Amino acid sequence: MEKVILIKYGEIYLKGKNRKFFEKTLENNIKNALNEFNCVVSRIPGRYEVSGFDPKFSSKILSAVGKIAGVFSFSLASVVDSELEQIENISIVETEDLDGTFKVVTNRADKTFLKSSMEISRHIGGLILSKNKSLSVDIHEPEHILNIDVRENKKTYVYVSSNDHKGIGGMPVCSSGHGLILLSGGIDSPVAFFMMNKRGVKLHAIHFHSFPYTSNLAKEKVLDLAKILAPFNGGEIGVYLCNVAKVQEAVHENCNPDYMITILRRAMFKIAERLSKDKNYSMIVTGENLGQVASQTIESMTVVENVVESTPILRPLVAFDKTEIIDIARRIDTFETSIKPFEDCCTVFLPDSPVTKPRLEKVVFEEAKIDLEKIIDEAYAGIERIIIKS
Amino acid sequence: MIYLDNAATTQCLDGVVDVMNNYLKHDYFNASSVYAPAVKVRRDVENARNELLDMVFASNHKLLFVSCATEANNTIFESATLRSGDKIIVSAGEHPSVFECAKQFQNNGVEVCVVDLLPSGEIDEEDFARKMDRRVKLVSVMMVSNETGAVNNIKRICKIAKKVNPRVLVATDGVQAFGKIDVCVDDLGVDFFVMSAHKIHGPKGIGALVYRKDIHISPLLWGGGQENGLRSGTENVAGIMGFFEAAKLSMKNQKSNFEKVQKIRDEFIDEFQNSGVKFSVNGNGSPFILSLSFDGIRGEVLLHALEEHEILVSTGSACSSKHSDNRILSAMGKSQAEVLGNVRISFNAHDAYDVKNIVKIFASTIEKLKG
Repeated sequence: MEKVILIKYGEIYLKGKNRKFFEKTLENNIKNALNEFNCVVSRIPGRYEVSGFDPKFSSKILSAVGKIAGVFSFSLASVVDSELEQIENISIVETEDLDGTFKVVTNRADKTFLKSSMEISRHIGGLILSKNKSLSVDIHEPEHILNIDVRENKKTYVYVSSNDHKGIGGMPVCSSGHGLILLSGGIDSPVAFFMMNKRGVKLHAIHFHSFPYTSNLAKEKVLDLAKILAPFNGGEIGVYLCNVAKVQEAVHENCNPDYMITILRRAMFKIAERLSKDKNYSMIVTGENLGQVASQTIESMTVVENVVESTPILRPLVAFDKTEIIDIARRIDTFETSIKPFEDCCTVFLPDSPVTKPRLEKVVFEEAKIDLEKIIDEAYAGIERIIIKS
Repeated sequence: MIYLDNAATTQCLDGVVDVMNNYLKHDYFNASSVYAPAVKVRRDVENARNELLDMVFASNHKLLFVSCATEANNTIFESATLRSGDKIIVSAGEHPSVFECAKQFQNNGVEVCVVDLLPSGEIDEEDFARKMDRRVKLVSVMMVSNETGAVNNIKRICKIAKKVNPRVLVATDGVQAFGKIDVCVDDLGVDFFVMSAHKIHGPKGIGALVYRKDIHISPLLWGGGQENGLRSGTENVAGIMGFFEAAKLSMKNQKSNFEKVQKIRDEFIDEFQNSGVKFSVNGNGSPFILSLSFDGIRGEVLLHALEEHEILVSTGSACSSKHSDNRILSAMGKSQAEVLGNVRISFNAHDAYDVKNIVKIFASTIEKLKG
């Protein structure tokens, strides 16, 4: 009897003629994610099977699979040949430690198997009852479910519900193209990152800092976040680090300080679009959330977005509540790192009363007081790229 | 000198000293400082943390660097938020850093249940199952006994505990296990795992507490907020990096070290049998520890007599050797004579032992002492 991990995908099922492309992309992503474990990833109809690994790595592999977008669910299963006697034996082994209530659920994809799924469930359920006196049947709300998955490859996968895990769902990373995310180090942008990964976008990150006004630790925090996010992004993230201190200095010296954040963000978006075009990224992603802070009112977003010529800006968190965002941040393990108290560039030269409803003409008027294009050129030329692997 | 007390502590390996030297003389920066050289040091510490977690296969856990296993064990008890009326279970074989800690909580109204040991040194799982109930908030059972080398089946103990009370916290002191035998925290299912550097040829003053991610750790020390506020005090960078180096070397050679030490232990037993000395072996498990009871002689006297021949052994755990009784051997049901005649020999895989000669000195010393 061998233990394998059985992976099911969800949304890809809905695809038509291009389903093969998505299946192949997901297969590659699984192989990449599990590369270090020396295991075999193979595709069987409607499923993937991970086999040949050292049992010591089971939890780590399960944890890694739990971070692959496109996976609907995954289970640590025992696999046997699709022969009744073997299925009987393994079902008894899988349930021998259980007590309480249970039921058997059979999925018979292999229609040539001699019994129907109902017959298999009834037969195996009866057998388990006779062997394990601590179990009784409850078909409505059982404490345990024994799943029997009879596949077309003449193999049957057997697992109890405690070994069945929900995946993050969505589409495989890379299937929806590449994007550039503005990663600040706060709570929101890592969550936006995850949400876009879930929709199949492979992300690259740009972090704006204001060294020496912000510390090295703020930069390190972003790299720590990138490390946590890398598994969701197919194992690695390219992080671009861009120093915008000169923009802030210029605004501080020449413009109405209340426009600091608006002008700074316009500079950031200009840089982001330039980078996206240079690298062929097809979207800019932000963690913006309508109404959360001064820079995230619809007026601010409009004025800032105005500098972006032709790249779509996607804001996956725009309608989320902060508590919903925090819940996801905790789930993907970025929350604790995000709340580390290092100032990011937005908090440097913070005006007393930033404009919450900026008017475009006024912003353009203030911006004209500095040579923003020249400062941006310099900042762009100084961009540094670090690859963070999971 | 023949050093046979490696369960008390070990000699630092050259590679470990070299790494530490670098962090004492060159990369000596405070890991919490904000300039680039210090950030690099911080990165090294974080890398060591992650790699150490990987070495014990702990995918749902975090790692806190502490000064020693005693601090780790105390942190566990503090984090279990024990209140008067709660119940905890420890084994009779626990190290004083667990046993005495439990006693302190007993003074505060916490019920402490001590699980019996089998004559072979492992905990009596049936007794454990009997004592385990839904009131139990914390179970602490060591993985490998520092007195006898007996290996407990932590996975099974954890399973029994969690079945009765899914919310119970299970801790295992892995000080004599890590780097010596296979450890897979994921598979054990424990909430806490404790390790120490100086038992695996690393420096003293550094250890680690591996804890399940969602557990709230109650700090013992307050101050500058290092270790995410869980353990204030400037990071012992040289210690951490020395620990990491020692761990890497131990893991790399774990299998061959184990086999080598197993042979040494077997050879010692064979030679003692051939020598005609009357003795018994207490417990059997980890080959790194050989606990013996010699007939008609006090272990302590033998220890000092051997010292004159430059052979260093122990009469049980160095931490408890000040006490005349041996709590653990008594719990294993050993007779008073066996307890008094106990000597613990513990090996490392780096020294070459002239077993024949060592046993000869043992035998002649015993002979002389018996007069």
